[in-house]
Amino acid sequence: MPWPLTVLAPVAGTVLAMGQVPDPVFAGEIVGPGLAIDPSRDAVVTAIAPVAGRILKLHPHAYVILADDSRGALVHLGLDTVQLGGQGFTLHVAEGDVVAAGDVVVSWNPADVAAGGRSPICPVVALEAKPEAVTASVAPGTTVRAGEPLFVWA
Amino acid sequence: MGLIAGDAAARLARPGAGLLLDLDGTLVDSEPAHRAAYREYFTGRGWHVRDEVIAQFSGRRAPEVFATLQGPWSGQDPDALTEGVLQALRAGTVRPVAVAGAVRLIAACSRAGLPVAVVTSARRDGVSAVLDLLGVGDEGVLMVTDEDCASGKPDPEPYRRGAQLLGRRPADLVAAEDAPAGVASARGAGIGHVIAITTSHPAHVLLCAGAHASAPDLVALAGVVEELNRTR
Repeated sequence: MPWPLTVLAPVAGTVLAMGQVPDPVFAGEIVGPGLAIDPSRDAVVTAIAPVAGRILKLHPHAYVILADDSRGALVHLGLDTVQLGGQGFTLHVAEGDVVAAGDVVVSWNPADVAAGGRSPICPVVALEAKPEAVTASVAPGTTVRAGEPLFVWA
Repeated sequence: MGLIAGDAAARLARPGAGLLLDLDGTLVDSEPAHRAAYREYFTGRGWHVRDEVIAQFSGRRAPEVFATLQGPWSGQDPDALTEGVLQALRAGTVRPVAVAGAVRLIAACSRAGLPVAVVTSARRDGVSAVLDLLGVGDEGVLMVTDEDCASGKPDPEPYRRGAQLLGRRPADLVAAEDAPAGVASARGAGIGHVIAITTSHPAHVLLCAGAHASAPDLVALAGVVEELNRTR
Protein backbone atom coordinates (compact mmCIF):
# COMPACT_ATOMS: atom_id res chain seq x y z
CA MET A 1 0.00 0.00 0.00
CA PRO A 2 1.36 3.43 -0.90
CA TRP A 3 0.76 5.38 2.32
CA PRO A 4 -1.23 5.27 5.55
CA LEU A 5 -4.76 6.38 4.77
CA THR A 6 -6.69 8.28 7.43
CA VAL A 7 -10.36 7.29 7.36
CA LEU A 8 -12.68 9.97 8.76
CA ALA A 9 -15.87 9.51 10.73
CA PRO A 10 -18.64 9.87 8.10
CA VAL A 11 -21.24 10.84 10.71
CA ALA A 12 -21.24 12.16 14.27
CA GLY A 13 -21.93 9.74 17.08
CA THR A 14 -20.48 7.18 19.46
CA VAL A 15 -17.67 4.94 18.22
CA LEU A 16 -18.24 1.18 18.45
CA ALA A 17 -15.82 -1.71 17.90
CA MET A 18 -16.88 -3.67 14.80
CA GLY A 19 -17.54 -6.68 17.03
CA GLN A 20 -20.30 -4.69 18.77
CA VAL A 21 -22.33 -4.27 15.56
CA PRO A 22 -25.51 -6.39 15.81
CA ASP A 23 -25.03 -7.94 12.35
CA PRO A 24 -22.93 -11.09 12.04
CA VAL A 25 -21.36 -10.17 8.69
CA PHE A 26 -20.05 -6.83 9.95
CA ALA A 27 -19.25 -8.09 13.46
CA GLY A 28 -17.33 -10.99 11.95
CA GLU A 29 -15.38 -8.54 9.76
CA ILE A 30 -16.23 -10.70 6.77
CA VAL A 31 -15.89 -7.83 4.30
CA GLY A 32 -13.09 -6.21 6.29
CA PRO A 33 -12.10 -4.58 9.58
CA GLY A 34 -12.94 -1.06 10.72
CA LEU A 35 -15.05 0.72 13.30
CA ALA A 36 -18.73 1.59 13.54
CA ILE A 37 -20.56 4.70 14.69
CA ASP A 38 -23.87 4.82 16.50
CA PRO A 39 -25.05 8.12 15.04
CA SER A 40 -26.51 10.93 17.06
CA ARG A 41 -30.26 11.25 16.47
CA ASP A 42 -30.23 14.92 15.39
CA ALA A 43 -32.95 14.82 12.74
CA VAL A 44 -31.48 14.94 9.23
CA VAL A 45 -27.70 14.52 9.17
CA THR A 46 -25.22 14.45 6.31
CA ALA A 47 -22.93 11.48 5.78
CA ILE A 48 -19.60 12.55 4.32
CA ALA A 49 -16.82 10.91 2.34
CA PRO A 50 -14.44 9.29 4.85
CA VAL A 51 -11.58 9.41 2.32
CA ALA A 52 -10.80 11.23 -0.91
CA GLY A 53 -11.33 9.17 -4.03
CA ARG A 54 -13.81 7.90 -6.57
CA ILE A 55 -17.37 6.82 -5.71
CA LEU A 56 -17.07 3.19 -6.71
CA LYS A 57 -20.54 2.15 -5.54
CA LEU A 58 -23.44 4.30 -4.46
CA HIS A 59 -26.66 3.07 -2.91
CA PRO A 60 -28.95 5.32 -0.90
CA HIS A 61 -28.03 3.30 2.20
CA ALA A 62 -24.36 2.53 1.50
CA TYR A 63 -21.38 3.74 -0.45
CA VAL A 64 -17.86 2.66 -1.32
CA ILE A 65 -15.13 5.21 -2.04
CA LEU A 66 -11.99 3.97 -3.73
CA ALA A 67 -8.92 5.84 -2.47
CA ASP A 68 -5.69 5.89 -4.50
CA ASP A 69 -7.32 3.42 -6.94
CA SER A 70 -6.69 0.56 -4.55
CA ARG A 71 -8.36 0.83 -1.14
CA GLY A 72 -12.14 0.80 -0.84
CA ALA A 73 -13.81 2.32 2.22
CA LEU A 74 -17.41 1.19 2.76
CA VAL A 75 -19.90 3.25 4.76
CA HIS A 76 -23.17 1.47 5.51
CA LEU A 77 -25.89 3.81 6.83
CA GLY A 78 -27.79 1.70 9.30
CA LEU A 79 -28.28 -2.08 9.27
CA ASP A 80 -30.52 -3.84 6.76
CA THR A 81 -31.47 -0.42 5.40
CA VAL A 82 -31.48 -1.81 1.83
CA GLN A 83 -35.07 -2.77 2.64
CA LEU A 84 -36.04 0.92 2.88
CA GLY A 85 -35.62 1.14 -0.90
CA GLY A 86 -33.91 4.52 -0.65
CA GLN A 87 -36.79 6.17 1.19
CA GLY A 88 -35.48 8.86 3.53
CA PHE A 89 -32.06 9.04 1.88
CA THR A 90 -30.96 11.89 -0.41
CA LEU A 91 -27.92 11.41 -2.64
CA HIS A 92 -25.60 14.36 -3.29
CA VAL A 93 -23.10 12.66 -5.64
CA ALA A 94 -23.19 10.04 -8.39
CA GLU A 95 -21.33 6.80 -8.94
CA GLY A 96 -17.98 7.54 -10.60
CA ASP A 97 -17.70 11.05 -9.11
CA VAL A 98 -14.37 12.07 -7.60
CA VAL A 99 -14.85 13.46 -4.10
CA ALA A 100 -12.65 15.06 -1.45
CA ALA A 101 -12.61 13.69 2.08
CA GLY A 102 -15.42 15.45 3.91
CA ASP A 103 -17.66 16.01 0.87
CA VAL A 104 -21.33 15.34 1.55
CA VAL A 105 -22.45 12.03 -0.01
CA VAL A 106 -25.89 11.24 1.45
CA SER A 107 -28.26 12.97 3.85
CA TRP A 108 -30.52 10.83 5.99
CA ASN A 109 -32.27 10.72 9.35
CA PRO A 110 -30.92 8.10 11.81
CA ALA A 111 -33.85 8.78 14.15
CA ASP A 112 -36.32 7.81 11.41
CA VAL A 113 -34.38 4.61 10.70
CA ALA A 114 -34.49 3.76 14.41
CA ALA A 115 -38.20 4.61 14.60
CA GLY A 116 -38.76 2.12 11.76
CA GLY A 117 -37.32 -0.64 13.92
CA ARG A 118 -33.89 -0.80 12.28
CA SER A 119 -30.51 -0.08 13.80
CA PRO A 120 -29.02 3.19 12.48
CA ILE A 121 -25.48 2.02 13.38
CA CYS A 122 -23.00 2.81 10.60
CA PRO A 123 -20.17 0.35 9.99
CA VAL A 124 -17.13 1.96 8.33
CA VAL A 125 -15.15 -0.83 6.70
CA ALA A 126 -11.66 -1.08 5.22
CA LEU A 127 -12.71 -3.48 2.46
CA GLU A 128 -10.69 -6.68 2.26
CA ALA A 129 -8.00 -5.27 4.55
CA LYS A 130 -6.12 -7.47 7.00
CA PRO A 131 -7.25 -6.80 10.59
CA GLU A 132 -3.76 -5.60 11.56
CA ALA A 133 -3.81 -2.97 8.77
CA VAL A 134 -6.36 -0.90 10.70
CA THR A 135 -5.44 1.18 13.77
CA ALA A 136 -8.21 3.00 15.63
CA SER A 137 -7.71 6.75 16.04
CA VAL A 138 -10.40 6.90 18.71
CA ALA A 139 -11.39 4.36 21.35
CA PRO A 140 -14.79 2.68 21.28
CA GLY A 141 -17.18 4.58 23.51
CA THR A 142 -15.76 7.94 22.43
CA THR A 143 -17.99 10.53 20.79
CA VAL A 144 -16.78 11.82 17.41
CA ARG A 145 -17.91 14.57 15.08
CA ALA A 146 -18.21 13.94 11.36
CA GLY A 147 -14.85 14.57 9.71
CA GLU A 148 -12.72 13.60 12.70
CA PRO A 149 -10.16 10.81 12.14
CA LEU A 150 -11.71 7.41 12.87
CA PHE A 151 -8.94 4.98 11.97
CA VAL A 152 -5.73 4.74 9.99
CA TRP A 153 -5.43 2.16 7.22
CA ALA A 154 -1.76 1.24 6.75
CA MET B 1 -14.99 -18.34 5.68
CA GLY B 2 -17.97 -16.11 5.63
CA LEU B 3 -21.03 -18.31 5.78
CA ILE B 4 -22.86 -17.84 9.04
CA ALA B 5 -23.36 -21.57 9.34
CA GLY B 6 -25.21 -21.37 12.67
CA ASP B 7 -27.85 -19.00 11.32
CA ALA B 8 -28.41 -20.93 8.09
CA ALA B 9 -28.51 -24.22 10.05
CA ALA B 10 -31.10 -22.92 12.51
CA ARG B 11 -33.30 -21.63 9.69
CA LEU B 12 -33.08 -24.80 7.61
CA ALA B 13 -33.91 -26.98 10.63
CA ARG B 14 -37.24 -25.19 11.24
CA PRO B 15 -40.53 -26.59 9.98
CA GLY B 16 -41.55 -24.95 6.70
CA ALA B 17 -37.94 -24.35 5.62
CA GLY B 18 -36.79 -24.61 2.02
CA LEU B 19 -33.99 -23.58 -0.26
CA LEU B 20 -34.05 -21.40 -3.39
CA LEU B 21 -30.93 -21.58 -5.54
CA ASP B 22 -29.80 -19.44 -8.41
CA LEU B 23 -28.22 -21.41 -11.25
CA ASP B 24 -25.42 -19.67 -13.15
CA GLY B 25 -22.62 -18.57 -10.84
CA THR B 26 -24.26 -20.27 -7.85
CA LEU B 27 -24.78 -23.94 -8.74
CA VAL B 28 -22.62 -23.96 -11.86
CA ASP B 29 -19.74 -21.95 -13.26
CA SER B 30 -20.10 -21.32 -16.99
CA GLU B 31 -16.86 -19.39 -17.27
CA PRO B 32 -14.71 -22.28 -18.65
CA ALA B 33 -17.35 -22.95 -21.33
CA HIS B 34 -17.42 -19.26 -22.25
CA ARG B 35 -13.61 -19.07 -22.48
CA ALA B 36 -13.52 -22.19 -24.67
CA ALA B 37 -16.11 -20.66 -27.02
CA TYR B 38 -14.05 -17.48 -27.46
CA ARG B 39 -10.90 -19.54 -28.06
CA GLU B 40 -12.70 -21.74 -30.60
CA TYR B 41 -14.16 -18.79 -32.48
CA PHE B 42 -10.89 -16.83 -32.57
CA THR B 43 -8.93 -19.89 -33.75
CA GLY B 44 -11.54 -20.43 -36.47
CA ARG B 45 -10.94 -16.89 -37.66
CA GLY B 46 -7.18 -17.57 -37.75
CA TRP B 47 -6.51 -15.26 -34.80
CA HIS B 48 -4.12 -16.07 -31.99
CA VAL B 49 -5.50 -14.40 -28.89
CA ARG B 50 -3.76 -14.82 -25.55
CA ASP B 51 -5.68 -16.19 -22.53
CA GLU B 52 -5.15 -12.93 -20.60
CA VAL B 53 -7.01 -11.13 -23.38
CA ILE B 54 -9.82 -13.71 -23.46
CA ALA B 55 -10.16 -13.24 -19.68
CA GLN B 56 -11.10 -9.61 -20.28
CA PHE B 57 -14.43 -10.77 -21.71
CA SER B 58 -15.34 -12.40 -18.38
CA GLY B 59 -18.75 -11.47 -17.03
CA ARG B 60 -19.20 -8.64 -19.52
CA ARG B 61 -21.42 -8.09 -22.52
CA ALA B 62 -19.40 -9.35 -25.48
CA PRO B 63 -20.44 -6.55 -27.93
CA GLU B 64 -19.21 -3.93 -25.46
CA VAL B 65 -15.83 -5.62 -25.09
CA PHE B 66 -15.43 -6.11 -28.85
CA ALA B 67 -16.21 -2.43 -29.37
CA THR B 68 -13.63 -1.16 -26.88
CA LEU B 69 -10.81 -3.71 -26.58
CA GLN B 70 -7.99 -3.60 -29.15
CA GLY B 71 -7.60 -6.85 -31.06
CA PRO B 72 -7.74 -8.52 -34.45
CA TRP B 73 -11.52 -7.83 -34.36
CA SER B 74 -11.05 -4.04 -34.24
CA GLY B 75 -13.27 -2.29 -36.77
CA GLN B 76 -15.60 -5.28 -37.24
CA ASP B 77 -19.26 -5.39 -36.24
CA PRO B 78 -19.43 -6.24 -32.49
CA ASP B 79 -22.83 -7.92 -32.87
CA ALA B 80 -21.66 -10.18 -35.70
CA LEU B 81 -18.57 -11.11 -33.68
CA THR B 82 -20.76 -11.91 -30.68
CA GLU B 83 -23.05 -14.09 -32.79
CA GLY B 84 -19.96 -16.05 -33.90
CA VAL B 85 -18.97 -16.65 -30.30
CA LEU B 86 -22.51 -17.71 -29.38
CA GLN B 87 -22.50 -20.24 -32.21
CA ALA B 88 -19.21 -21.63 -30.90
CA LEU B 89 -20.75 -21.79 -27.41
CA ARG B 90 -23.75 -23.75 -28.69
CA ALA B 91 -21.53 -26.11 -30.66
CA GLY B 92 -18.93 -26.41 -27.91
CA THR B 93 -18.10 -29.51 -25.92
CA VAL B 94 -16.88 -27.70 -22.80
CA ARG B 95 -19.78 -27.78 -20.36
CA PRO B 96 -20.32 -25.57 -17.34
CA VAL B 97 -18.74 -27.01 -14.20
CA ALA B 98 -20.47 -27.48 -10.87
CA VAL B 99 -19.58 -24.95 -8.19
CA ALA B 100 -17.82 -26.69 -5.27
CA GLY B 101 -20.42 -28.23 -2.96
CA ALA B 102 -23.31 -28.01 -5.47
CA VAL B 103 -23.73 -31.74 -6.07
CA ARG B 104 -23.39 -32.50 -2.35
CA LEU B 105 -25.91 -29.79 -1.51
CA ILE B 106 -28.60 -31.08 -3.90
CA ALA B 107 -28.08 -34.67 -2.74
CA ALA B 108 -28.21 -33.69 0.94
CA CYS B 109 -31.42 -31.68 0.45
CA SER B 110 -33.02 -34.66 -1.24
CA ARG B 111 -32.07 -36.95 1.67
CA ALA B 112 -33.25 -34.39 4.24
CA GLY B 113 -36.57 -33.90 2.42
CA LEU B 114 -35.73 -30.20 2.26
CA PRO B 115 -37.62 -28.73 -0.70
CA VAL B 116 -35.45 -26.99 -3.31
CA ALA B 117 -36.26 -24.80 -6.28
CA VAL B 118 -33.85 -23.37 -8.82
CA VAL B 119 -34.65 -19.73 -9.54
CA THR B 120 -32.93 -18.62 -12.73
CA SER B 121 -33.07 -16.09 -15.55
CA ALA B 122 -32.10 -18.84 -17.98
CA ARG B 123 -34.58 -20.63 -20.21
CA ARG B 124 -35.97 -24.03 -19.26
CA ASP B 125 -34.17 -26.10 -21.92
CA GLY B 126 -30.83 -24.71 -20.85
CA VAL B 127 -31.58 -25.40 -17.20
CA SER B 128 -32.37 -29.06 -17.82
CA ALA B 129 -28.99 -29.59 -19.50
CA VAL B 130 -27.21 -27.98 -16.58
CA LEU B 131 -29.13 -29.99 -13.98
CA ASP B 132 -28.07 -33.16 -15.81
CA LEU B 133 -24.52 -32.04 -15.27
CA LEU B 134 -25.18 -31.90 -11.54
CA GLY B 135 -26.54 -35.43 -11.66
CA VAL B 136 -30.05 -34.16 -11.01
CA GLY B 137 -33.01 -35.22 -13.08
CA ASP B 138 -35.55 -32.55 -13.99
CA GLU B 139 -38.07 -34.25 -11.77
CA GLY B 140 -35.88 -33.86 -8.70
CA VAL B 141 -35.79 -30.09 -8.56
CA LEU B 142 -38.51 -27.54 -9.06
CA MET B 143 -37.63 -24.53 -11.16
CA VAL B 144 -38.61 -20.99 -11.93
CA THR B 145 -37.20 -20.06 -15.34
CA ASP B 146 -37.30 -17.14 -17.74
CA GLU B 147 -40.57 -18.37 -19.26
CA ASP B 148 -42.35 -18.29 -15.89
CA CYS B 149 -41.83 -14.60 -15.17
CA ALA B 150 -43.11 -11.36 -16.63
CA SER B 151 -40.25 -9.52 -14.95
CA GLY B 152 -36.74 -10.84 -14.31
CA LYS B 153 -34.33 -10.25 -11.44
CA PRO B 154 -33.91 -7.78 -9.73
CA ASP B 155 -37.74 -7.73 -9.71
CA PRO B 156 -39.02 -9.84 -6.78
CA GLU B 157 -41.19 -11.95 -9.09
CA PRO B 158 -38.78 -14.86 -9.70
CA TYR B 159 -38.16 -15.47 -5.98
CA ARG B 160 -41.81 -14.84 -5.12
CA ARG B 161 -42.72 -17.55 -7.63
CA GLY B 162 -40.01 -19.79 -6.17
CA ALA B 163 -41.61 -19.56 -2.72
CA GLN B 164 -45.08 -20.22 -4.22
CA LEU B 165 -43.70 -23.25 -6.05
CA LEU B 166 -42.42 -24.68 -2.76
CA GLY B 167 -45.68 -23.70 -1.05
CA ARG B 168 -43.71 -22.05 1.74
CA ARG B 169 -43.62 -18.61 3.32
CA PRO B 170 -40.77 -16.54 1.86
CA ALA B 171 -39.61 -15.56 5.36
CA ASP B 172 -38.96 -19.24 6.18
CA LEU B 173 -36.74 -19.80 3.12
CA VAL B 174 -33.00 -19.56 2.53
CA ALA B 175 -31.67 -18.43 -0.87
CA ALA B 176 -28.20 -18.56 -2.43
CA GLU B 177 -27.26 -16.03 -5.12
CA ASP B 178 -24.10 -14.76 -6.82
CA ALA B 179 -25.38 -11.54 -8.43
CA PRO B 180 -26.58 -8.26 -6.89
CA ALA B 181 -29.74 -8.36 -9.03
CA GLY B 182 -30.56 -11.81 -7.68
CA VAL B 183 -29.93 -10.78 -4.07
CA ALA B 184 -32.23 -7.79 -4.59
CA SER B 185 -34.91 -10.04 -6.09
CA ALA B 186 -34.74 -12.45 -3.15
CA ARG B 187 -34.86 -9.67 -0.54
CA GLY B 188 -37.69 -7.96 -2.41
CA ALA B 189 -39.65 -11.20 -2.26
CA GLY B 190 -39.11 -11.35 1.50
CA ILE B 191 -36.79 -14.38 1.55
CA GLY B 192 -35.66 -14.76 5.17
CA HIS B 193 -31.95 -15.42 4.69
CA VAL B 194 -29.93 -14.70 1.55
CA ILE B 195 -26.44 -16.16 1.23
CA ALA B 196 -24.11 -14.46 -1.25
CA ILE B 197 -21.92 -16.85 -3.22
CA THR B 198 -18.86 -14.82 -4.20
CA THR B 199 -18.01 -16.55 -7.49
CA SER B 200 -18.59 -13.41 -9.57
CA HIS B 201 -18.79 -10.37 -7.27
CA PRO B 202 -16.96 -9.27 -4.12
CA ALA B 203 -18.78 -9.93 -0.85
CA HIS B 204 -19.33 -6.24 -0.06
CA VAL B 205 -21.21 -5.67 -3.33
CA LEU B 206 -23.63 -8.47 -2.49
CA LEU B 207 -23.86 -7.37 1.13
CA CYS B 208 -24.89 -3.85 0.09
CA ALA B 209 -27.48 -5.43 -2.21
CA GLY B 210 -28.97 -7.03 0.91
CA ALA B 211 -27.24 -10.39 1.43
CA HIS B 212 -27.20 -11.65 5.03
CA ALA B 213 -24.08 -13.80 4.73
CA SER B 214 -21.46 -14.77 2.20
CA ALA B 215 -19.46 -17.82 1.19
CA PRO B 216 -16.98 -18.53 -1.63
CA ASP B 217 -18.94 -21.61 -2.78
CA LEU B 218 -21.61 -24.10 -1.60
CA VAL B 219 -19.37 -26.36 0.49
CA ALA B 220 -20.32 -24.86 3.86
CA LEU B 221 -24.04 -24.82 3.00
CA ALA B 222 -23.83 -28.47 1.87
CA GLY B 223 -22.19 -29.23 5.22
CA VAL B 224 -25.06 -27.55 7.05
CA VAL B 225 -27.69 -29.69 5.28
CA GLU B 226 -25.63 -32.86 5.72
CA GLU B 227 -25.49 -32.07 9.42
CA LEU B 228 -29.31 -31.83 9.48
CA ASN B 229 -29.41 -35.36 8.10
CA ARG B 230 -27.10 -36.61 10.85
CA THR B 231 -29.03 -35.01 13.69
CA ARG B 232 -32.53 -35.95 12.53
